[in-house]
Amino acid sequence: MTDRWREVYDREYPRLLRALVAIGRDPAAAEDAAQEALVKAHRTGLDRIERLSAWLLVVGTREVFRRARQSRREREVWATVPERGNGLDTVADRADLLEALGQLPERQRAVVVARYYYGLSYDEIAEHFEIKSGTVGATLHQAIERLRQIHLAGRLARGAMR
Amino acid sequence: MTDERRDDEILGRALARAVETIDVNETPYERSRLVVRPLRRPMLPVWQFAAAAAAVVLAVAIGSWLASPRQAAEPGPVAPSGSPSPTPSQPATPTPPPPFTSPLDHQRVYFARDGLPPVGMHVAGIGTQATAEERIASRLGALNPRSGVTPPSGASNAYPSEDPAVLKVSSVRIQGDQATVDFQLPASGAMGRSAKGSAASLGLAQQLVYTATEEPGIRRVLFTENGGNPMTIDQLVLDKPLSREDVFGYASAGSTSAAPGHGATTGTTRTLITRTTVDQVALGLARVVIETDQKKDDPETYPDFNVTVAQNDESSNRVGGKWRLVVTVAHSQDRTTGTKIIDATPLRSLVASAGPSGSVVYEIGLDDLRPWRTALLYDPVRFVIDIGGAPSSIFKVNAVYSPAPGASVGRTFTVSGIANNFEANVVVRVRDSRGTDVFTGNTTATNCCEPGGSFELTLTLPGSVSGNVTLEVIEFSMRDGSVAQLIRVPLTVR
Repeated sequence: MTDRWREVYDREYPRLLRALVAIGRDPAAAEDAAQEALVKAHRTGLDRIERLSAWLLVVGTREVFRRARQSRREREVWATVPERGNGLDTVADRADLLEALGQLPERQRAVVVARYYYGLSYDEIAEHFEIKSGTVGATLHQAIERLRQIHLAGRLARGAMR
Repeated sequence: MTDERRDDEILGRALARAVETIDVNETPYERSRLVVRPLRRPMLPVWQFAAAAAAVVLAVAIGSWLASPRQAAEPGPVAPSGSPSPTPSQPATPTPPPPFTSPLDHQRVYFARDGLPPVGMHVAGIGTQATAEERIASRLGALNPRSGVTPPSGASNAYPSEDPAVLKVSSVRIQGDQATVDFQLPASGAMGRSAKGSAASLGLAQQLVYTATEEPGIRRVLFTENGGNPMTIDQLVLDKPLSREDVFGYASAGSTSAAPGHGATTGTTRTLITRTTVDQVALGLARVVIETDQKKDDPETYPDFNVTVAQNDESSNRVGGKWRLVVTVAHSQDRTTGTKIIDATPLRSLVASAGPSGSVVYEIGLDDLRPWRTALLYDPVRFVIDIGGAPSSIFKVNAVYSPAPGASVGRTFTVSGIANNFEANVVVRVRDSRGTDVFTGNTTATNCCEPGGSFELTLTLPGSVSGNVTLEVIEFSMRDGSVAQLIRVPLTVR
């Protein structure tokens, strides 16, 4: 294996793994999917992939959803997804956000992570995830609105318990 | 940008930060599938294929010219049950090589364990053939459930149950420390029939690699199927030689650096006794305890000890296993010097002998180089060398032994393990499924740092806690308060 692939791995894998954990809610499946995506990228050849980051995210996302449908154990595993942070509120907020993300439909989850974590443009999301370009904005807006509602509910509930 | 759009962006960025801070167990590149799992390149275009073929022909021609005398001496593929045909240059009745003899039990096969490295088991009548190739084939053949061998308690066998006339080892070739084993399979991929999913695939790969490399002198094995095609186990393609350390399931191999004890190099001669246990302190863990006759009254004068690691040459040291931990204890004596055969994965032997300058040297023979750690305990002074444990409960030189991952616990339970933390401080935290801390406490290990010490903390969770929780054992960095070492153990509270 060449140093070039080591560079690709070091650059792409950590972010891809976190994205797939957030999207798929199963750390083990995310690890499998991330590794599979990288192996597929190698088989395909870097010179044949136009934008590697987005390509890996799409391939990994498909794999995560495929495995999730097979395993049917999302809820139990999601409960163990860890988070870390410096302050209690920050940690709790992040946990709420991730949990809220987990309550979105599959496609919305993927689009939100692609837009805000990977920084893909609407056009890139449309192209890679095979969504009509006109509906990307609406999908994102619906997802964010839903996230806001769930997140707010979580914060209120946590405040009420203090 | 509208206020609404700006709000969306703010929430999106917060979400991105939340995703970025998800703590994941990253697989290092060296253990990624890009390296461990073989790569199938896409079909080459015709001109590239022609160029590659020409290059291969040229390389073979040059290689055979350069290496022809040596190649003639190398063993070719050997049918496991056949015998070589005499050739005109050989004596009419070739003398078979003397069988390899060892005090260790090499009549062994390995079975997979869930979340743990594989475990060896004695099977009478295998691995006794005259040649290494035949011994490897006979051990692998015993993995077939139809051979009548059943795994030990807590282990499983993902080898396909198939007529041994249809699925069998067709050839074994040995070159240096590497074996190449070709299986005859009824269909491509048939080895993975009973091993679906990544855990089962890895388990079967562990069984095959450990069993094949049980042969002394063999460290790596390449598996092929039906005449040299890369072997596949479900989604796993085994097209490169694998060592035990490639498949044992730990994030990294054990350290090859020396572990100093920082004790006194001179002083009263201490009398030592040793104890070994396997799978008792924790599953997958071997513990070697060297106990001195020194009580706690003067803990700073314990005899110095030093642990080094060496790959063992099994042809010259037949009790040392694949790897040896060598422990030297200063100003001591052991009245029971000699060799003790253990043969319980991963421990093979413990050899005690008198060392230089009044020291005692212990050589611990091991099956593989899984992560290991040392600890110092008092009253009386004891040196503990722990090898392995549950892979998910180990981080660098820290380990949690109890509770085991996935255990069901009551609201009151005890956390124990080995820590090598600054000022021996061990922080224990329990979080519920929402990420809320339901317990935070700390305890002190028996020693720090290098060697580490053992710790134990009994904690009680609030009455409202039940279901899935995560136990975290943490060392915070003294420099900036960040998490320096973290072990997470998923538990269920009854």
